Amino acid sequence: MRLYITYFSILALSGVLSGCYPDESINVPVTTHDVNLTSEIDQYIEENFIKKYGVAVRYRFVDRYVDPTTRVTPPTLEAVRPMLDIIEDFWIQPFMNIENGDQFFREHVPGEVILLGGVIFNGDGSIKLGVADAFARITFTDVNRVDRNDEDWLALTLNTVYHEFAHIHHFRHDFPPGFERISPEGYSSPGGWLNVREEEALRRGFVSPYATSQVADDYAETVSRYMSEKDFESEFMELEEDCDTPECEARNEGRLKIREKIAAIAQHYQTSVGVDLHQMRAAVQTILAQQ
Amino acid sequence: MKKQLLLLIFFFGILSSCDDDDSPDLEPIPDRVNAAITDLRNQLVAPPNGWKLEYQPTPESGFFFVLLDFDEDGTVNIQTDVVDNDGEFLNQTIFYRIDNSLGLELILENYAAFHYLFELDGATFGAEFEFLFKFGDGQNLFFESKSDFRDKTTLMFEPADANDANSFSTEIATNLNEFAGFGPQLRFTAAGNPVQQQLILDDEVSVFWDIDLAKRNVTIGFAGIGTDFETIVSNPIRVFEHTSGYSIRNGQLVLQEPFEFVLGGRGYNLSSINLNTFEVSGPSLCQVNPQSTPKYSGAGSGVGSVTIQPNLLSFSGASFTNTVYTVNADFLFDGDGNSLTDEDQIVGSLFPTATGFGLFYGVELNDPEIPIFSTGVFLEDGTLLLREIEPTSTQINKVSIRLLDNFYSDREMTAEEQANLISLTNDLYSGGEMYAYEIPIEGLSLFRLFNPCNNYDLILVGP
Repeated sequence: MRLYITYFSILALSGVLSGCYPDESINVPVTTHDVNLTSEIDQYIEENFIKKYGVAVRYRFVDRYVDPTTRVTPPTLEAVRPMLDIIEDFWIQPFMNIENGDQFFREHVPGEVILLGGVIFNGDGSIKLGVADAFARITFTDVNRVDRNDEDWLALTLNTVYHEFAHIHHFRHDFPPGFERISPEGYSSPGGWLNVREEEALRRGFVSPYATSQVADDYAETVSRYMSEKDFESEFMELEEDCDTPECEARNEGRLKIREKIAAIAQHYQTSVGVDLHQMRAAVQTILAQQ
Repeated sequence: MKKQLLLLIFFFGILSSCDDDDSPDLEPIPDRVNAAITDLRNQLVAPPNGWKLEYQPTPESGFFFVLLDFDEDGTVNIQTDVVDNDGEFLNQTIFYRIDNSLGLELILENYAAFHYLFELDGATFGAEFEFLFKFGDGQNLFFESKSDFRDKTTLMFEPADANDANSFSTEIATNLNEFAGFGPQLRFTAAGNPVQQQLILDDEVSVFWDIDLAKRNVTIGFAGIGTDFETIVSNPIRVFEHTSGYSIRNGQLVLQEPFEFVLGGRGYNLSSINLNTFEVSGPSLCQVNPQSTPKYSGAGSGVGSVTIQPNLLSFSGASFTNTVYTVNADFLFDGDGNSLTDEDQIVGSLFPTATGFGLFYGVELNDPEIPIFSTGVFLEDGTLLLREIEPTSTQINKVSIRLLDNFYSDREMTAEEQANLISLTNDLYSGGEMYAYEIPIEGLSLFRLFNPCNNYDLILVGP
């Protein structure tokens, strides 16, 4: 009986405690942008991102948009519009130009895009470039350096967004069957990818050292490099001729594995979302060529 | 039964405690929060000339003068004396927001001077762009930095006067930044590189300090009699470790902690310097290849005339003493941060199989054949190729290298190897005057040996 009374007491106590706060606490506003939502940039985002694609672009600092263990800054106001143009031109537009791309983009684009002025400073002294949180948010870093004529910055930015968008695809549709078995021996131990050189990654059948870190990043890196790099085919897919050294043979073996990965990913995109990976690459390369 | 009675009493206590919050006089929480936000916004936009602030991000740093003019439309105009990034932060208008989270918070929502300072030293410096409102006192408002775990920064917003904008001395900050180009450029730690300056006071007394132009603090290392190196080292030197933040306003560099010292029988008290004449007429740091350097002249309170010029002397490298210094050859850099072992660089082109570099600095080794003063490379097959140098020692942090035409190898050195070693060492030690600076990494005896004639940075590891 004492046991029942104790249970009753706990239930009653929790009811009493919750009854102390009728309907006050839930609605307390945390962030209030109650002024100036009609600025030129806000209007542009409203018309071109929120209404068109359901994407909110956050360019004003709100700490809950970022990992509390990191230190980050918002972008300069001057960098925001050029960055929005780059997002439209190099991320959105290529999908609008291919079959089923419009639907694929709208169904997979995250609800929020966060713009950060610099890189993400982690607590351990390392830095991070670009983040995708599940399939709800993509974070662009180093926006203050926005310059579409800066090849290095543009390559890094595009690689980041295509990489993170590829993560969203596999979060929703998993990996191609057997993808992880194409180069199973090549993956690095935790953190080990930092000691892998580009040449070694290629020999193992990966497009970059980071791709060796885990299956998910192998998938995302392969997609992003395939879409953004003009010389991808000659560098990662076409076999070197007159190959008579062990190093050359190892590179060609790696290229065969990368070919296999590209084929598997292309098939997976086609069957899962009806989009042609090769058309995606062609659309991006067409826009890059117009630069 | 006794326990159950106690529980019952406890319930009644809790139930009755709920009554206190249900006062019909209290507005709902959202309304009260909005009222508090509106009240703070009204206070922020009220002063006709905005607010002024002497912003000191950390106790070790100096001060940045800031004027803030808040508008009801959610924007704030920020004027500062942060002259970096080509003056980007001198006058900006960005968005601000007042939140209620850990209390009322003022958040500067777009990148400006505060964010630039926040990112210094890999975002470890300690500046902020989110502030907790603490209280108002008279006409002033007090905020506190939000994310500092310790040494929370208190910011006092004072109503600005119409002429406060005239007290900016951004030209002094800009001119001082010109000194940053003279001295080691590569960063090997997050803290960056301070700049060494020589202050020549009345009676030809020289004070040497390391000035951190980004964080606005100085560390006074030593003072001596004379203006040139030979005179200074031939006279008594007084060594100090006096640090102070500084501010730049109304044409003055003002030390937060004035510096008093006695030298040559005269007392000096350096608290502020009026800087009025800036010229590119300072002494060259490289004697064989003269270069133009900046020079600032003025007058200091308590010290008479003051001339500030670049210098490379610093006691931070005084512990570069006689021993064996070696390093992986990849850690020899040019002034742009390229490793000298790159194919198109001097080590990579002359000794493509070099794996290491050494400076045998006046110490006898196990093999007595090895010259105790010599320098050179280690090849991947284990071969040692060395060129002798004249016996020398570190003076303050200056290391004079005079190369000799005597060579050593643990096998027969080919004529080509000897010619290449001559070319390499002539280039590395061009000018013959190197300056050592300790790189503060715990557990390591690590130095950079900087050559002002070619900006090479040779990283050397001691035992």
